[in-house]
Amino acid sequence: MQKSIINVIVLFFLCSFLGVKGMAQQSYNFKQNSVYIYNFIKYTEWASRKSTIVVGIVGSTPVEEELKSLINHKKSPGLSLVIKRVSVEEAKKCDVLVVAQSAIEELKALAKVTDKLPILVITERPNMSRYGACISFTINEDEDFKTEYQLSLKNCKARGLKISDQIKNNAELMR
Amino acid sequence: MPQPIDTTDLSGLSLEQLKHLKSQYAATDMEKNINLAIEAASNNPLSLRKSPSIISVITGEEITRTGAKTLLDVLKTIPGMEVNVDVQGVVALSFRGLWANEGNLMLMIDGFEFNENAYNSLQLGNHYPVSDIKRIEVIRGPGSAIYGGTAEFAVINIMTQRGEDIKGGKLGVVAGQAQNGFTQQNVNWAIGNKVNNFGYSLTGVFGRAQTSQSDYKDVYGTSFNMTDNAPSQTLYLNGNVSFKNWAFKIIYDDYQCYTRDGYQAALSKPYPNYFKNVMGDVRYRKAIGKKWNIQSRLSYKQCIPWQNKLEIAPVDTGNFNVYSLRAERYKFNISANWEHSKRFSANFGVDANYDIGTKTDGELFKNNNATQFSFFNYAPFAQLLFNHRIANVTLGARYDVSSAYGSAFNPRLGITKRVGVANFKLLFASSFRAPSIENIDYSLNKVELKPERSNTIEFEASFKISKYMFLSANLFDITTENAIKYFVRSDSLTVGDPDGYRNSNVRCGSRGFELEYKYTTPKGMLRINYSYNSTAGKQIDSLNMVPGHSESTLGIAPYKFSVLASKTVLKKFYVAPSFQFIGERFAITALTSTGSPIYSTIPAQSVFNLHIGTDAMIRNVSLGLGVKNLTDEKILYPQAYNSLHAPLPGMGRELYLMVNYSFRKKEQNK
Repeated sequence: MQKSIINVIVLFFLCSFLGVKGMAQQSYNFKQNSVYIYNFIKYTEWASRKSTIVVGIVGSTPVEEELKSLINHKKSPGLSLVIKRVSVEEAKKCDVLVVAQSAIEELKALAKVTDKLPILVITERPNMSRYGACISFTINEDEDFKTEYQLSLKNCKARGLKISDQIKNNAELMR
Repeated sequence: MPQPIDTTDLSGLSLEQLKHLKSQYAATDMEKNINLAIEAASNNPLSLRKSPSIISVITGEEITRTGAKTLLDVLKTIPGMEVNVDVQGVVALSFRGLWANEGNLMLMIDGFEFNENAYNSLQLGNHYPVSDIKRIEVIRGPGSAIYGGTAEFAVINIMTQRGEDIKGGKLGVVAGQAQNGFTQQNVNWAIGNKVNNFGYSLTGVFGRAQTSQSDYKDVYGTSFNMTDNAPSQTLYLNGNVSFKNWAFKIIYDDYQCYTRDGYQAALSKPYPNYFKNVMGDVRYRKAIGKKWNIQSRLSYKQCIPWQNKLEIAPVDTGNFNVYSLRAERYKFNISANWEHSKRFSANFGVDANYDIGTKTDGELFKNNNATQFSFFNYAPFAQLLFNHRIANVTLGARYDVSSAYGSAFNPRLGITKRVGVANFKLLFASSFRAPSIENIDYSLNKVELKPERSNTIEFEASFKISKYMFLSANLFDITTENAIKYFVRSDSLTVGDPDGYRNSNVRCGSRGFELEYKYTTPKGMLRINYSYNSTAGKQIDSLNMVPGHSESTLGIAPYKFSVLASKTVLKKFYVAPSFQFIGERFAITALTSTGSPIYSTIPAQSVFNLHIGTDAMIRNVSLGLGVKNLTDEKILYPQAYNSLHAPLPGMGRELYLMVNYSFRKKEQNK
């Protein structure tokens, strides 16, 4: 009897982890995420003054098109953005990196390549601060599935980025 | 008041505005379910995963889609819950391997406690209706830190449909038939609406049923067929009026179940047990600013339980007696909720109740030689909730002070943490069972009964595998001290008392685990659960002991497996098969020539049910047709403690029909 109980528990956790492995991706409103990103850039200070901010997109995400459409539509004085798809190797030339959910496995390599470089790393997958993300999007299921973001001040500081209160005040602060 | 945000062009929105933007995400039913605000688990409703309790939620739609005809049909599918017979043909619940029908398990309907106040028992069967249920929250763990002395092991919280849910009216009929005649004949109705600040509803059920049509053999060797010997009748009304911050509610519950199972011999004819509850309350709720919320409630409840008012035939005298007691409770509650910030909130208040027991059968209470006995209870309580990035922590406590049985302090600690799709809960709670009016009166040799105390530790891991799948597993450990036990003449600790209540002299309890898998899509649902309990490492009171078996208690199976499914077919129909498997149990089935109990094994039990329904064939009409106990399995409800009653048979194969007609008022043009 004891053996069969242990088998049931082991089977349960095995199924659980297999299930977690194949979990569904977060369902974002990408138009909203693009405006979030635009605001993050607006309220972040880089150590050296930038005339043009290069936003690198790692992996495939609809936010790329939304961002392009946004900067065509919206002109902010003193803020010029270039949006382009980049590989891990090209990442260190960017000022902002947006890591798509589908490319989240590249995050470890990205963290290594861009270590301590002044790059605002934004991930579409939540809880990525332990892999070097500065900001991670998340869907808060307790708040009627609203899109929110997590902020790691420690990672921002390590990259020499200064984050304004506008970003801090609306964030879930992470280590 | 904040202005609505224009969502056609988001480009001009600030971070704060973006954060408050309404989600366009269409949550699945499963996601809605696991993010429901659970009302019963804490003083301040939290989502299922954040709530500091192990919880099962059953929606009204699930009840309809799976063809549940009674509350018992629903509760049988909850992990850890089993059905046992009490006395006088009443069936009730045990939970996690422990008999739970004497104030250990609380049933609430719309905030009213349905445990009668003389013995704190429940009577299932064709009793509490399911036709008006909006949602059931089953707290599979202690609830004394919130609810006090009848929520030691678990809480069943039923929320019924209000005016805003009904928006019109409905009328339903349930009719069941087995080999020897009808099994259930119920009529249910609901009317209600809400216009601006004014809401009203009136729901009810009127019906009758049979417990079984099989043969029953008592421990003394007498047998009879249950057909027409164990009928029940029910009349239940639930009225609700709300206006602005005020709500008024009244419930009338009149239930009768017949029995021929006497105390020392089978009775010559079936006698009715009458159970009557009348409850009413007025509630007031007011928000003060953005951070404060106060609520207050004044209620009255009158119960006349286990009443035998018919004249007893001379041949049955001594085996069944005239009995009548009126138990009344006046209750006042006031509480406040303070939302300090997103990170911290607090709830605190006080409950006070005054209980009066009045003997109306000419007998006197033993403890004061009077026809009336009363006591007062008050309980301050508080709960603090910390939302920290490391974990959410709930810290709560309630201190019950009674003029009849002393005091009981019930702290609780709940730590919950979500990591991606996984969620973890670590819970500790102290709980108690307050001695009821008749517990105190029937205490052994008039020795003052101490409250029964339990400490429960639980751990749960759950996973949202996908938008449609949810899996949870939990471990539990319950230790009970001073368990209040009902004994009859064969009790090992007593000499000379024919029956009564005493505190147990051992530390009882159980431990085990429960697994639950849920799959819900727009086309159907699947719910599978398995529960296991054992008394290994715990002691067992002599009244629950099975000689030679130290890991299980009398009448309760160590494991239970349940499958419940519903699937839409041919666009218009849904098919709902279900299956329950209960492991081997032990029961007292006879007595030796010297009057000692003879224990027998009840084989494992498998029950298949099938329900087919549609709500798309005829406008405003839903139809259901089904078979319960498809294979005609011999269902038995053994007694979970030694009070010399043989297992009560349940219903065999049964065919039933459900018809519901509903009309909704046209929405007013805005």
